[in-house]
Amino acid sequence: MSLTGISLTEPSFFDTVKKQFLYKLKGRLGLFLAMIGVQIMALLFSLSGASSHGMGDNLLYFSFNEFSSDQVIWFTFLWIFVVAVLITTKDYQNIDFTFVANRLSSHLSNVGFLITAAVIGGVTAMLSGILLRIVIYFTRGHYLLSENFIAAPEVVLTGIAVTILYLLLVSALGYFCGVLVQLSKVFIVILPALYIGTVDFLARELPVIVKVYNFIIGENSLALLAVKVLITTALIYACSCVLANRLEVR
Amino acid sequence: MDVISCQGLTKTFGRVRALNNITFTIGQNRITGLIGPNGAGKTTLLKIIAGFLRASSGEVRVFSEDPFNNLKVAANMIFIDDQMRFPQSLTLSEILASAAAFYENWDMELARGLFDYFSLDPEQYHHKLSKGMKSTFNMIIGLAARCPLTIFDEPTTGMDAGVRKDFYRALLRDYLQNPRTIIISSHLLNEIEDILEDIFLLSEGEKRLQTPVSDLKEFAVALRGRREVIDKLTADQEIYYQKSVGKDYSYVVIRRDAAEELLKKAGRDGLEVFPVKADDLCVYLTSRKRGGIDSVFDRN
Amino acid sequence: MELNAVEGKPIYVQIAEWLEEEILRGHIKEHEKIYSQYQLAEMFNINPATAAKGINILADQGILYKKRGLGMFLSPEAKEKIRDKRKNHTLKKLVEEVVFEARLLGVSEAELISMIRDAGKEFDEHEGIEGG
Repeated sequence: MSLTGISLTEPSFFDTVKKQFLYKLKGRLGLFLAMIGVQIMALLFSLSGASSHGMGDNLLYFSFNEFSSDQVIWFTFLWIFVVAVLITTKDYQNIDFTFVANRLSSHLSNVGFLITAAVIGGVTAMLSGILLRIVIYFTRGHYLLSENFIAAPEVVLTGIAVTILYLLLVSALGYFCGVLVQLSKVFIVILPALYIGTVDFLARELPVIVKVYNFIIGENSLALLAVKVLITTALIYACSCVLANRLEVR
Repeated sequence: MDVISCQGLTKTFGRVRALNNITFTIGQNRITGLIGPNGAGKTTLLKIIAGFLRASSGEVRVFSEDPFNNLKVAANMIFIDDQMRFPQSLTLSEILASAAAFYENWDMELARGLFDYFSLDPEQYHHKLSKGMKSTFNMIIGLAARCPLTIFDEPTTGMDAGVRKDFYRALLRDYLQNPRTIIISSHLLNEIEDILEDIFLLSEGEKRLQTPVSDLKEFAVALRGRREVIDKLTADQEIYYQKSVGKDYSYVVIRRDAAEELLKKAGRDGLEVFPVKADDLCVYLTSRKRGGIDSVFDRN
Repeated sequence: MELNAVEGKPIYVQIAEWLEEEILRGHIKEHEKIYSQYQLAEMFNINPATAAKGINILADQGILYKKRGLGMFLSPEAKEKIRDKRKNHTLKKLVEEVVFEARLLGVSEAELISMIRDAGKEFDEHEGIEGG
């Protein structure tokens, strides 16, 4: 029987972040299943809601069917935004603080989780585009396909990279919004209103905003886009961490 | 070393003052019972110690550091209450495995043993458990983690009497083999008083009392006798509780040393002396009405 | 082993009295190590500090002595000390209460003594105490 009882552990910060990250990956599998579900739903929409038109005369009739895998990508954006907001809510926070955490480790492991989600989301969204082509090929007939049909590997890879980058940005924004709402419930009203009203308004009234937007988004070089997006994402996360560092939990 | 030390701790939520100017220390390797009526501020105090809430003013030190946002405190402390949350997609045995990763002193053998003893299903999900089973599972995590500071906030909600007894016994036995600092807040003082070393009495956000349990139980006695006798005897005494017994008799609770003095001087005079149960005494010391609920009914 | 929590006697006093009983019955020999506070805590389902308090009462009265780092041991004069103490204190008090009750009921001394004799016979038949 020792006189001083149990000795104290001195936890390493990054070790804790790693443990929380792995815990979250294991525990949030359900969210990835939801992603699959969302993407399948988007695929079904893509298959049916395509634009089509036709033209011709008595002898010959052309029918154009346009399909796009944009739907899947938009749905994936939506999914990751929702996930990012969700993981800032009280119940998810409580899971962190039931075990060992401080606020920064909780945020960093969340960021790691969202980066993983962005990568997985980007890959699956692009792959579903390929899946779409396969389904169309076999179900709608392979008469005349546009030259865009066969996706070259570089196009696919670039597509994946760009999608991942945009997903990173969207998830960072979602996390930031979630943090704002945790700080004050007022933002539940303000943020949607802000989105609806201001983007439009500012784009018209303040060309600077449009310039910044184009600066970040409208970029031809992948490497440069990557740098811009990563820096912006990191900044947004940094703001979130700073704002949420003094929040009370459980 | 003092594990916990508070100086002038105050906590307000908006306009409500939950804790008011609290000062105390809790030493190493003792079991302290945090007792008080509902709304006294027990959970708030415990959550500030755990680092979940911030003090509004005053100083809090756990392991000599500020516990808020503190990884070292978090790694050496575990907080068990009915608000513990686990990922919905993990089974109970997966949760245990995850806990093992976070806590250095985790004893999987103990966890498994308790798990089997209470007939928990390892493939079950936490949110599907009944309230009592949840409390049992949470308690197992709290014990198996062997954290140097272990805090239980009303850990027995929903547990039936048999399970509660087993919990106290398990807590005591593990404490004997692996001493650590334990704080239990419970409204069932009569059930836990034997395993406590100290009592911390909290009422309306203020610390009323912090003493060893054995001292508390000797602090006051009850006298019962004819009303005139009692009234005369206790005229200028501090009375913690008083009620009428029948038409002519009175039951009153005063300090033991005062009672001994009085009895020495006045003799027994038909008075009977009774011990006061610890939980009753805590109620008397924290209540506002001197006659308790009976005062509503005895209106003569 | 059951402890009477509601009765007037504090737990640590009950522990001390139980130890005295064990000593009087000869279950603990002179210079033998007595139960530690942790063993008592486990046996009686109480906090070890409470058990320690009970042990310390006996230590203060010289019934036990401490060997640094080894624990508490039974003093050689322990048995006599306990006997004297309980005869002049505990037993005396009980006798006073019996007398009080007898006077209250108007029971004569002779009747009281015969009641005591009968109780003694009963006791020796059913229980008896060794080491007396």
